[in-house]
Amino acid sequence: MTDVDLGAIRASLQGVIPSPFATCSADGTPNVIYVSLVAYVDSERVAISRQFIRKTRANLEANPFAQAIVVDPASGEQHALDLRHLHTETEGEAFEAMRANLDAIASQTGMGEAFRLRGVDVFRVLRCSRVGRAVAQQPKVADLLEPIERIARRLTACRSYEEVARVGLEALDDQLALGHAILLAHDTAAGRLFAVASSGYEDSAIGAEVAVGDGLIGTAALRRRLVVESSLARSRAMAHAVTRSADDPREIPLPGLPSARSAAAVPLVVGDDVLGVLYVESDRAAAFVGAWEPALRLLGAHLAAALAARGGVGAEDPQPAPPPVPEPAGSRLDVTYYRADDTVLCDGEYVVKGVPGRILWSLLSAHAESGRTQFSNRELRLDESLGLPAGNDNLEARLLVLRRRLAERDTGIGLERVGRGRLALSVQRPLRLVEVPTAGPWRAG
Amino acid sequence: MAAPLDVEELSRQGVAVIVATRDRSLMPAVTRGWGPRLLRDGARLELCVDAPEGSPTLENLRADSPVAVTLSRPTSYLTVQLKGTVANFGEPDAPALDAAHEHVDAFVAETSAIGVPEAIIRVLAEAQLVAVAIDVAERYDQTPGPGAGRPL
Repeated sequence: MTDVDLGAIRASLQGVIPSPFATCSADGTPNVIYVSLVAYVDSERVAISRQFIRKTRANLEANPFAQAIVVDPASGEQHALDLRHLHTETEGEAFEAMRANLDAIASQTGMGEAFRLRGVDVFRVLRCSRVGRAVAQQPKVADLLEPIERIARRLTACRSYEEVARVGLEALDDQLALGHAILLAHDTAAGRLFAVASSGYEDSAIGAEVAVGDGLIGTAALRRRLVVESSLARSRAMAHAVTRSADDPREIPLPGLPSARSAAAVPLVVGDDVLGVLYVESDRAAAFVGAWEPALRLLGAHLAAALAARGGVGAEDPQPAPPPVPEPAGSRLDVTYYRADDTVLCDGEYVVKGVPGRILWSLLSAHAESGRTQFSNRELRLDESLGLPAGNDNLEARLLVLRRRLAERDTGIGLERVGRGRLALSVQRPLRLVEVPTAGPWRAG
Repeated sequence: MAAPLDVEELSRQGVAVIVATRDRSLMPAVTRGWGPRLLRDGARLELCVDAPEGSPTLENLRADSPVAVTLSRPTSYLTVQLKGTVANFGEPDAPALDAAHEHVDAFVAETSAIGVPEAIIRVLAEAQLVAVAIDVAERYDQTPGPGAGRPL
C-alpha cells in the first residue's frame, strides 16, 4: 500500500504502543528512538510530541526525513510511515489535542513535568506501507452510525433529565455493548463533577465527585475534549484519580472495573457550557480508538443536547392535586443538618451534602412548618438561600442525586418527580430536625 | 564518572530492539530486531532484524548503510543506543534463531508486566529475519531524563 490515507489507520495513531522513530544526520548516521505518540492530524499529516529528543531534533533540522512504525493496539497490525518534517507548533489544534491526552496521563501518574508538552512536530506522510501481515479490522464509523441513531431516537423520546440519564446508559449498553458507564454532571461553582447515574458496577456511583482537571474525567471537562486512555497499565489508575477516604462517608468512591484496560471520557458540551462528562470503560485493550472516537463525540453531542433540553428552566406542569398523604408512623427519624457544608445525616448516617443537602433541608423545613409535600423547580430556583447559580444550575442533576441517595439509604424520606418541574416529598416516619450551625461532623476543629 | 550502564546485561532482559538504517539519499528506515547478543566485550553486536525481501532495511544493508540499534527495557525505560557499521549479514544460523526466539519470550514477559497482551507482541514478532553483525563504534545512554544522550 502506498496511498496515504491515515484515516484508515487512526487506531494506530493513539500512542498506545510506542513507535520506533528513525532519523538521519547530515553525515549519514542513522538514529533511532521510541516516541510515545504519533498522532493523527489529518489524512496526510501526523504530529509527534517533542519530549527528550535532542539528537532527533538536530537531525531533523539537517535532514527533514524520518520513518516511524505505528502499531494498531487491538490487532498488532503495523504500518511504516515515511515522513517529512514540516514545522513545529506550540499552539493550535494539533497542539491542544495532544496536550489533552498528555495532561490526562500526567494527572494520573503524577508525572506532570515529564509529560509537559513543549511542542508538537508536524510531519507530512509521504508513504504509508503495511509491515508484516494483515489482521482483522476495527469497526468503521459507518458500522456505529445505526446504533447511535437508535440511541439518539430513544433520548429524544425521554421526558425528564432523570429519564435521559437512565435511558442513555441503558441504550449505550444494549446498542453499543458499552456496559460500564458513569454519567457525571458539572457543578460549575465548585469546579467539580458529580455522578448522577451509573451502569454495570456493583456499587452505585451516585454522588461520587471528581475535581475538574483530575484524571480522565476531570481533564475532559477542563479541556472540553474527548480523552481516550488505551494504555493498559495506566487506565487502571484512572478509577483512583478520586481521593478516597475510608473514614469519611461523604467521599463516595467512583466505581471502576478492576479489569479495565481502556477508558474514555466524553465532555458533554452545549454552547459555552460543559454540562458534564460521560465516562465509559472496557476490559478490552484499546476499546475506544479509531472509529470509536468520532462515534463517542457524536454520542456526547446527542446526550448533552438531550440533558440540556430537560435540565434547564423549562415548561412546568400545573400543580397536580396533592395525593392523600399517609400519616408518618413508626419510630422517629432524626435528621441533622450541618450548615457548614450542607451535610445531612439521617439517624447519624450520612445521606448527602452540598447543594442537594441544602435542597433536602429546605424541603424538610417547609414540610415541618406547614405540612407541604408539593414543590416546584421554579421555587427552588428562586430560593436565594439555596444559592443555585444563574444559567446552567444543573438543578435536575442535583435533584436526581438527592432522589437516588434518599432511596439508596432507605431513609423513609422520598422525593418523586410528579410532572415537569414538579416534586412530591413523602415522609413515612415522624421527623425531628436538628440544625447545627457550625462545623460538620467530619470537619477538623 | 556516572555509573556504567551494563549494556550486556540490558541486552538479555527482554528489551525492545529497534534498528535504523538509511539509503543513499539519507532517507531513514526503521525495523525491529530480535535476539541481540553482545560479543567481544561489547565491540560486536549480533542480532536478527526484520528485513523481508524488498524492504528498505534489506536494501540499505546491501548498500552498506551504517546502523543504529536502540535497546529499551519496557518496565524500567533503561535505554541504550549503539551505532556502528555492518561487519556481515545473511541467513540466520540456528544459534541466532534460538536467540531470537528466546528474546521474543523474554520480551513478552516484559511487556505483559505493563499490560500489553501477548497476542499483540506475537504479531509484532512475526518477522522475516536477517542475521546482522555490527561493529559497534558509539554507545549512548538514552534513558529518559537529564542524562539522555550521554556517551557511554
